[in-house]
Amino acid sequence: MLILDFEGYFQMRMATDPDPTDELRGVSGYTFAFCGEPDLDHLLHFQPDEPGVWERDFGPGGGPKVGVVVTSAKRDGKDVPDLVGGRIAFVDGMVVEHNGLLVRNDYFIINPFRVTLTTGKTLQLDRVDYLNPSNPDMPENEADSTMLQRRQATTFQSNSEEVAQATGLPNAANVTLIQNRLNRKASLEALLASTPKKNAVKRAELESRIYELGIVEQWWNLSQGTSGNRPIDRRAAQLALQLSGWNIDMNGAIAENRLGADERYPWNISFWMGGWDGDAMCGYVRGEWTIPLK
Amino acid sequence: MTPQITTRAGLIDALRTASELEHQLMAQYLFAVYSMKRYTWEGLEPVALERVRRWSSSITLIARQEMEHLGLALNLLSAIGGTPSFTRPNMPQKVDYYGKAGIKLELTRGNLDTIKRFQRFESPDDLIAKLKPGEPVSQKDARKWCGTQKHVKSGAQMFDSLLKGAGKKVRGAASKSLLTTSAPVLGFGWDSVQELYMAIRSGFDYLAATMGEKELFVGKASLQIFGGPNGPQEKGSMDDLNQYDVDLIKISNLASARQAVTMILEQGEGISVNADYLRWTHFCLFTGIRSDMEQFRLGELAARPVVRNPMTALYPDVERSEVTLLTNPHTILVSKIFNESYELMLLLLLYLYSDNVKTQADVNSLMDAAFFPLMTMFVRPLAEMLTELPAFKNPREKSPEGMTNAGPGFELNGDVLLFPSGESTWDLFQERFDTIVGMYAELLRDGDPWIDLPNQRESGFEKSRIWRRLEYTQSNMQRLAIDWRARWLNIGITTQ
Repeated sequence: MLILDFEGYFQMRMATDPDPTDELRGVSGYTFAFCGEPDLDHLLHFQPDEPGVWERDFGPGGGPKVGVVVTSAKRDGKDVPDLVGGRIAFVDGMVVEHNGLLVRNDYFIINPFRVTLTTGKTLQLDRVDYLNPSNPDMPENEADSTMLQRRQATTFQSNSEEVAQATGLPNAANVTLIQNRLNRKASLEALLASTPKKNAVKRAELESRIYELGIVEQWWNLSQGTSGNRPIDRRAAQLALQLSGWNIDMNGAIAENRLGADERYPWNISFWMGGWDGDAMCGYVRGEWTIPLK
Repeated sequence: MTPQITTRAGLIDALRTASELEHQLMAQYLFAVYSMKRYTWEGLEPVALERVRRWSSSITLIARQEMEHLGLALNLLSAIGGTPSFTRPNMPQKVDYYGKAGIKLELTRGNLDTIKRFQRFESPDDLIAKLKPGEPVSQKDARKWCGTQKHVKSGAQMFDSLLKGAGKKVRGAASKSLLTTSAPVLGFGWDSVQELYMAIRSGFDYLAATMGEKELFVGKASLQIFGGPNGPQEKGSMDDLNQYDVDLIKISNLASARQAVTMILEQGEGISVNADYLRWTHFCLFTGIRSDMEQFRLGELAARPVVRNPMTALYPDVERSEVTLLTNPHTILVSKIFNESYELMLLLLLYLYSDNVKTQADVNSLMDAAFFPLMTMFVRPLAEMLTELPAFKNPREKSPEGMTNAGPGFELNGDVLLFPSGESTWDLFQERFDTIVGMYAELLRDGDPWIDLPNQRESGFEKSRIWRRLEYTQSNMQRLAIDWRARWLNIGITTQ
């Protein structure tokens, strides 16, 4: 058995509720393609060199860097150091729910679901999973509940300490999450101050991001709390929100197999996603790919 | 002081007026924002486009909060035994439709004149007292209000002082509405939105004092829609609307009724909010957009060339001389799909407020069908596409204002009424979904009529952008119809 542990930041430039799921720029949610940026592509990008990645500047405070890599590799219980640092990708994957039509309450599926491992310039493993193996080209809107549930996440955890540990937050308390957003805001304000006035596009982007980062509580919620003490807004809360339980026996075609995997059996992959940073449009993924060997 | 509303029937009439008004404001705001430019190929350089994006975000926020106000008005109505309603007249209407309030109901693109009109809708009474109907608020006064007012009174303090100061005026206005208006829903006896809500609040006070809260609040709480930590939805669920910039509360007693009315006025006119909330009020948001539009000279450039009041048909309740009849056949069909989807959404919401919905699972199904897919996946995308489509069959034809593009007419063919039989309701909704699926099939049957329109071709695609987006919404409507037929049992897991 080959067991690959992987983790790291991914990017997903997608619109957020209540924008429609095909929104290209962002209007009514809290994620946007700001001026000078390409349209939202809604794709999961695990590697920084994938077409469509757009890594923003974070100023002196820094921010997430895209890159999901193998952190541990064991072949029949023995370390395989050559595979550590290998790059994992969810090729062309989208986080799908169609605003409740396919999947309700944000228990997302990822579709299409194709996973690759690359070391150096060499593609080592490449397998796809089909919603419907008997009809691989079936549109996702035709999937039934059994097909969907096989692909879904199962569990939400707010204020997840596991997420906080993974992303380097001191802890997962709301006050910490809010402070993180305010720190990012301060960092962008410093960046804005050093951005020449002639760079109007950059300044406009930073101004809009600073505005969004200033929203850390549900200011509109007049029935709860008082100003400065209202429920935490999703922009901050999602920094420690964890969605876990994806556990998929990959059933589809194998396009590459350089590691002696047994192609007669499914390859299992399990993972969680979380730590969503709406300003960076990045989140964190940690998982394990378990591959039977010949 | 003598309260102006002294009967349950009078309070129900006032709340129906309020809900109709909120519905009308929401539709106008949505029309304007869906007309605003989104892409660099629409003639704006990136920084200007970013400004327009910010305005669009603000106006959609305001529109959502108008949905909240509509929801609160319906909860108030339901709480005292009234029947929630989504009936409203089509637009346009004369400027005196709402009497001296001077609320001109019409669908106009998001230009400077439209923003001025919206700013006036949301204006505190102090700033419009001396204006003629339709006259814009002084921007100097508006900016002063938004920049310097210190509104630190509690809601109760605010109403006490307002009612004391304007008691005579409010009493007179209310008396007129009750004595001279035979059909209260169509009459408007108040001089402003603020005055209407003040009358509603004092009506609740009076009736609670005279008949007792238990007698006044006879409606079932289960017939209301609300969210938040005490709501019936799973925590963090998409069914909890309170996470999307709205605050829907349950009305069960005088305190919650007063709170709801106060919230509506705080969010809109901002007459009692703390200074740090003032920038979020609708009035100040519109004031800021107006300032930006004037400063950056984007008043006419921010929006697409969308005609006024686009309609697929002339309805008997509209001001006919102000309607723009659509003549492009494909656009008319898209517009009809939009109108069907919009009306279906209203029917589903009406059903939600009825006693026919028995279980929380059914409530959640309706919320999933009504709020999310229909509003975000159909009504909005279809409206946005309409503002890119030609209004007229003749490609060279323009409206008297020189406009060429269509828009969402929010057309209603009469009242929005609940199906009479609870047993057959689900099947009747199914027919509606299936009808829309059929309309899509007809629309997309004969090739792509939009491929030669400007900016519709994209490398790598044979079909126009419009066609592809319509196909996406078509696929989703087909799925929605399947979900409905399967009573939501054919979707993935929904809870942990």
